[in-house]
Amino acid sequence: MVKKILSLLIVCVLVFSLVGCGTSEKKVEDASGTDVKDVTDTTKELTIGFIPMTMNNEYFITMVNGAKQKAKELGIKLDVQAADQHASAAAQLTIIENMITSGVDGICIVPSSSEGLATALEKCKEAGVPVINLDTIINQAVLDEVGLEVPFYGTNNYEGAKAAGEYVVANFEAGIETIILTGIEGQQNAADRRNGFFDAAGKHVHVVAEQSANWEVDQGYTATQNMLSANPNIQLIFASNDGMAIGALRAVEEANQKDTIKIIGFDAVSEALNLVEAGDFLGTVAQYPAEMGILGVENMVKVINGETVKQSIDTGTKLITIDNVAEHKEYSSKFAD
Amino acid sequence: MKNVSVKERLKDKDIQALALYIGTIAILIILSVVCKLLGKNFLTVGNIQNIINQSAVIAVIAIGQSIVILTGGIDLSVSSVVGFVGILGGLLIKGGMPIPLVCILLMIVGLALGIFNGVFVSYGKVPAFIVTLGSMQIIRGLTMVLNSGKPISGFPQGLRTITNAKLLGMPVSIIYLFLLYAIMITVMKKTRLGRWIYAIGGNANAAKLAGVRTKKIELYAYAIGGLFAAIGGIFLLSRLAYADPNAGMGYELDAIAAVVIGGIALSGGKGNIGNTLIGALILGMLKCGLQIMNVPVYYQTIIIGVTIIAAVFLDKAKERKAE
Amino acid sequence: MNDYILEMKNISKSFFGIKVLENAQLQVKPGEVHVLLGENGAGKSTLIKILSSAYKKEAGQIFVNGVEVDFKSPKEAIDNGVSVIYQEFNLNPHMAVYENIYLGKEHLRKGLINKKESIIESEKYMKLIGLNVSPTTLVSKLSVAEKQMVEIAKAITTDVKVLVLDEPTAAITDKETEKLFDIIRSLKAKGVGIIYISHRMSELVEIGDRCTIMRDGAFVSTVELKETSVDELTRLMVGRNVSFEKIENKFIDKDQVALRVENLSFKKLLKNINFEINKGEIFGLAGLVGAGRTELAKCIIGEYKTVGATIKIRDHLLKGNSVPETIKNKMVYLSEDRKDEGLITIHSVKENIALPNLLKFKKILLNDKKMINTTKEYINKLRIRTSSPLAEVKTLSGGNQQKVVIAKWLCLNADVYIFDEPTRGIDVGARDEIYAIMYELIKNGASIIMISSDLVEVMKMCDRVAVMKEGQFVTILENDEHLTQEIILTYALHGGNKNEEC
Repeated sequence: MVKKILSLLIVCVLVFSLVGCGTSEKKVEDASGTDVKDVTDTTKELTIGFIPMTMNNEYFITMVNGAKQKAKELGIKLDVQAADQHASAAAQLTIIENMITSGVDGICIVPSSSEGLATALEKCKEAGVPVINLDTIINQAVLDEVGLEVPFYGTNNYEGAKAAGEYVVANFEAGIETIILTGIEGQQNAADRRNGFFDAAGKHVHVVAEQSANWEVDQGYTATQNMLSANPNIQLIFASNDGMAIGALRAVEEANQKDTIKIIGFDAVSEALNLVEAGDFLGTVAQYPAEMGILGVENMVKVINGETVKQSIDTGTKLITIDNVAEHKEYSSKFAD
Repeated sequence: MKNVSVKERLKDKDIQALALYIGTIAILIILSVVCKLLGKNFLTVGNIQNIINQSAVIAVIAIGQSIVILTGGIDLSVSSVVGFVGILGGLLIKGGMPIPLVCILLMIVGLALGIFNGVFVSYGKVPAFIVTLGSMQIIRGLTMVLNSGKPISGFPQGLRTITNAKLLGMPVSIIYLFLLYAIMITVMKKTRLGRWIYAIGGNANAAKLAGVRTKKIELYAYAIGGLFAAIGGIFLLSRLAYADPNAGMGYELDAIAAVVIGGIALSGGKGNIGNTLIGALILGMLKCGLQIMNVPVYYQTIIIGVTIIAAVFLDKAKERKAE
Repeated sequence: MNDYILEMKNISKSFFGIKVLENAQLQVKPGEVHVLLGENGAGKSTLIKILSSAYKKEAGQIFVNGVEVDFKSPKEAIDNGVSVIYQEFNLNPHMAVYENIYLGKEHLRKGLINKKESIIESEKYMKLIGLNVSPTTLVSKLSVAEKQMVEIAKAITTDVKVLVLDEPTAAITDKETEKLFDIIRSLKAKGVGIIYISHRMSELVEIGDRCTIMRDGAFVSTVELKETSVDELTRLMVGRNVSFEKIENKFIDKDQVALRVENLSFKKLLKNINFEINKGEIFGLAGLVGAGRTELAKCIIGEYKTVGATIKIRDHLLKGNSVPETIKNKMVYLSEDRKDEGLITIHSVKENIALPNLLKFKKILLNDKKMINTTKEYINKLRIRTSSPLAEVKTLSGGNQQKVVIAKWLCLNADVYIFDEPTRGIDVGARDEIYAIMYELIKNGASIIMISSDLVEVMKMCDRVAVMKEGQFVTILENDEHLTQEIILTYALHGGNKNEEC
């Protein structure tokens, strides 16, 4: 028994000292561009907490990379934390609590949902930690409830999807059979993307089917397979993110309908850009996640220093097609890992 | 007789249990020292409250999970119960029902969902893994149906107060948590129901021949599992003041992890429910400590995975030696 | 040429620092049945497990055919001709007979299993030992005796030199035993050295040639069985004398009926059973394995659901089909299968004794201290050898485990005890103690139903003996001076009609 406890203790010490070493090394490395600082000295330099929705998605990784570059440039520390698997309000609340404990000076967050952060924001307010909202807008009702003003930097998903819809109206015949793949039911951006496309092109094209594939490649694949077998004359697929669009492409290829079916994705992840370049995708809607990260960090420093910042910035969207894909690829390569 | 020194070793299990607690406290101290060395605020009073608060949902669910696992079963559906209770509670509160009444109702719902599992496991003889795997899907689906997959927010302040109000300088959720554990430790140690649950997990045939109504007791265990999942769901709903139809996903595994770290055998019949709380707190502590130390997200999951295996690996040291 | 096909010299082994074997030795000649005799805990199974390399020895040497060996795994032992057939068979019940026979040494053709050849080959071995089932039968469909034969077939597919049989007759009928003995004799003729472990004295004398006796992990003596009496063997094994005389029962109260069973039938297994037993009586149930004795016990206590039976304890008519009700009325069943049905072996002695008696220890909450004190009381009273009331039951020997089972029902203060094979797997010394406890029970006014396949014990303990065959009572015999084992056996085999051919 005693042995058991001793060994458990040793394991814990080892794990923690390893982790300790790992992080301090990293810090030194990060700081090597600027002047080297005492790694344990946290009081003198600014630390910004940065919370993307998840860390297993290129979109958010790009955003974090933008933020990291900006932080390095400004000589401040960036504390990036995300929920391990499931982007949930509960996990984000825990992260925020822990960030407050560890003494961050401000927090940039992409909320897991538009409404779920009431408690977390209240904690920030109590602790006097300023918050900047990125990418997915927090509901005004929630902000009112807490009594907090939070700047929002992000794009309008609705406008981006609308641009794609308008492109379809301009370039396709009326009445072509179309299917729409949507994101997770109940998420605001899922609804915005679907509605943006639908409002612009819904009357022009004939939407024969609409199904949620929960943002996932495999689900996009199976959903498309099913819809193709039910509707063999489909000519256009609008997928609310690139993952689902890639899944749809697989299904289309398997059905030997690549020549007749055009696919539009959303997010402009690197794989999607390649596919646009290769002509497999008709287009994908680009957002500028790196810009959001950069703006978040930049403005947070201003907030901390008592300056006023813009309450809202639209980082814009753009439909990437074969015509402008090369240009966009060059831009995004700056924020790739 | 030949077994002299084995006798010595097996003497006084209570001392063993005590040693585990002392060991855990020692781990706590070591963690905080390491954090101090890194210059972070870890294990300040406020932070300890945070950790307990953060772990409370899992810790509460893990009570029910412990009891189910002690019978030799498993309950995967707890995660969906958390989501279901949240959405149902959200709708009821929005509909104007008084919050205490909603809480009671939600507990009854949890109990009923547990009974559903229990009936199939004990009387239907369907393996627990399968029944609860199915009901996990069913209940999650029902949750989506309830509010068309949409979350609910904008609750009255009273909802948050039920766990967040301060008593003796700490959030009441912590007091509830310890109270729930105190009650269930007593039930498991000091009542017939508790002994029967252990007996069923230890050897259901022998328990039956000793006059235990095994089917009924097994059913009770799942009912308790559902009840505590519902209480966990209420905790979460109140903590977030936000009802998410996807809430609780993955919690069943966290709860199982807390149970096994606490030393309850997955085969049932053995283990101490109080140690489940320690298991849940170790997990919470680790997550919090790693986040505070700013360990990259990807490594956090690795470390937690290692911890789970290490804890059980060490637990089995005695058995390996015996071979 | 070597005199011995197997020699084990100065074998020592300890667990947790306690010596369980100290300088044990065993010498087996080719073509002999060598009996290994000793009480439970004497170190027989440890010695065998060292032979098969399931355990690692700490000191000593093993020679097979004069060559020193040191097997690294049980498979290596088997490949070198040393096979052990344990009480718990090593068969996969969901696989066919032939697959089990060739498990681990499958006939391959181009890397794939050659099913046809496996079947033909295994059939050859099955014929050899007279196992008349199809090689493609699932093992789960076989009887215990047939499974045993599969194990033997498995052993002889390799060039077996030493075959160990651990209590091979514990769960098979007398007829099957005869068949087993025939197989053993034919293996013997081939020069195989057979190590035979059993507690049944009559068997040992019949099949055994020489006998090595062990006590407390040490070698006591090796004797020629033909020249040694059973009493002498017992004395060597236990270290004192043991009696087989019929006990004298002065406690029967013919006026008081303790249990009455009427019209009990169960599926096709039991047909119209009627009997009653008196207060203070020991009522034996004899019969072959499969005659329905255990089923009868389980029906009486309500575990198996019956229709239309009347069961009365004293004057109280049971509603029936409820174990809790039966226990409440102070009738209890002590299963033949202690590990699976009698005890929770991963729980402590205290927990096991307390389980059916929890109400005794309850005010509002259970009183742990009182439980421990009561447990200590029974540990002393029944002389249960355990390190503490909190020791896990699995650390106890078979006899002491049985005493824990008895203790939990004694604590309930039951009136009717149904003992199912109370001394199975228990050594002679501990048996005597179990008998003494049973005597103590009837002295205090309890009644006992004793199911036993050991006719010596039936003759020693029972006042009356019901003989069962195919789910029916053939007869109920008074155990007076006229009763012999042969009479009981005749009823069990032929239903009382001696002229009938079997």
